[in-house]
Amino acid sequence: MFVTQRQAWLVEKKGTRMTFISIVASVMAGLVVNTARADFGNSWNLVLALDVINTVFVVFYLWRILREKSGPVQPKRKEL
Amino acid sequence: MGILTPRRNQMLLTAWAGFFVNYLDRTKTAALLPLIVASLAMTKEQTGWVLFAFFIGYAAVQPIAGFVTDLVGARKTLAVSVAAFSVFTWTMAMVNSWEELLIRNAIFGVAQGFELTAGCRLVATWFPVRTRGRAFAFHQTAYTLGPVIVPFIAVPLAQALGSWRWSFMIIAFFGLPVLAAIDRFVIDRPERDPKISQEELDYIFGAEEMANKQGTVLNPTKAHSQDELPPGERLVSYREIFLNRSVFLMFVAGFFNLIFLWGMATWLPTYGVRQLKLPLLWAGSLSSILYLGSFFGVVAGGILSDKFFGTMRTPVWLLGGLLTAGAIVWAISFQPGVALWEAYLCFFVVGFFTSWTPIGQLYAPYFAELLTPGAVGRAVGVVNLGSQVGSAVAQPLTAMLIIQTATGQQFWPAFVMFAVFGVLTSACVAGTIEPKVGRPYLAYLLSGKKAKTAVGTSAGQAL
Repeated sequence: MFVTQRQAWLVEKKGTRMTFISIVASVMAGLVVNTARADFGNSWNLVLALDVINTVFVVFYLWRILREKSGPVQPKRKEL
Repeated sequence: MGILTPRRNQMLLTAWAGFFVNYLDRTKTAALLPLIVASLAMTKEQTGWVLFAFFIGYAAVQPIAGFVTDLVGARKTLAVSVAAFSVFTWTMAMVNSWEELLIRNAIFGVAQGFELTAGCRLVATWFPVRTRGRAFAFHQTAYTLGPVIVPFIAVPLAQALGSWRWSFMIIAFFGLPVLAAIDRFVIDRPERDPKISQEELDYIFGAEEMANKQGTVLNPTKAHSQDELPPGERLVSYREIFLNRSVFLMFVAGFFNLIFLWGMATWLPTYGVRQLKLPLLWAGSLSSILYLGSFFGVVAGGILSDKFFGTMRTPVWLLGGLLTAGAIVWAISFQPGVALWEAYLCFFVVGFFTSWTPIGQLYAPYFAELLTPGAVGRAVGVVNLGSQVGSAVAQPLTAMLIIQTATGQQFWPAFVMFAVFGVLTSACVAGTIEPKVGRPYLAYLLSGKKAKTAVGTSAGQAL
């Protein structure tokens, strides 16, 4: 219930796109917390840096592409 | 004018890159599997479940991916898919246990599942009928090259950096240039591209179509008249897409098709070692030879369809299933001591003709011509669901048919099954409508080449 209310608040305040991005970011953060950190030994900081760089670029391009209003045009309800 | 000057070719190269990175990404897990199994101390059963999880995620999402592609647009769908599988690749590098790998592999499969429908839709929309077969053949070369190249990227990276996890971390970056290219070169429809020339639009749609069709309703199931649609599209109903005899037969053909394609590709190295008694290196190279054959087969099939068969698609598939079955029957006779060149030649031929089957190539042009380019995502989604279910059952089904003898394992029962499924694939294709002549291709030949209703306008195509 709390999660649903929170999502509704996000959609209202920030829009669908920002809600989608924030949900994805939360899931990613959760996945990073639960990691096999020991397997990377002394390179853990490098791993984190690579992850951040990758995700920043991915989010940047997604933001550029998803913000466009170029999707298919649907006939309006009144026209049907 | 260079080959990359036309906007359609820039779009095609980007869609190809997306499909190539998709295959590179998914096959790296198989290439690194021995290292992953040792690292996570996985049993044979757990390994099987992890691999199965990918196919379940991938298959389950196919119909949804088709809808999303057609309703949201191929550009956004492609971008979200590439972004998602790029990110999930690096998260898979961080797993602690086989259960985590299983869950993340399933999610990774879901992310990858949205790529194919978007790529198909783009090629179907951006290329005219006369070159669509060859354009899609180029797109399909990505799935033949990915598995050949991946062992030379993923394994050396893991060996050089000391862990399979680094291969995942680095390959995750391969999606970024693809995202940049999508942002720059991919537009959902040619007439919406501000950079395209009028000359190219006329080449894609024809000058008359461009002049007469100015509609903006991009979903062909929502429009009320042809005038509401953009150039290159025609009205279709949901019934025509989903209750269509040809779509149903393609669904079944795809199931048979991927059982023998995927079963053969994944079991060949084991067959080489256990039945032919080949050293591991030579046995492993049998899969590469199969994909190399597929590469040449895809290219040849596209040219054959466009040029020799005059843009008919189903004749190539009819030949593909039957000739694959013939080549597999040849392989049944191989025993230890078989000449390596003969085994290579046989599996090259198997790969070559396997790519002439319905899921190997030409399916996006086929659905564009049978239905309309605007419905290709949905049709491919449905058909690929059948195919991926075939992929998922291919490995356990093949394993069940391998028999143990005094001299070692024998694969002939599995090969007989592959050959039978090759014939069944062609049998399904024999019932599908060839859009150019409005009837099944064999019926067209038997009637003395009498064509029926024009492309994709027959109401009789519904079940």
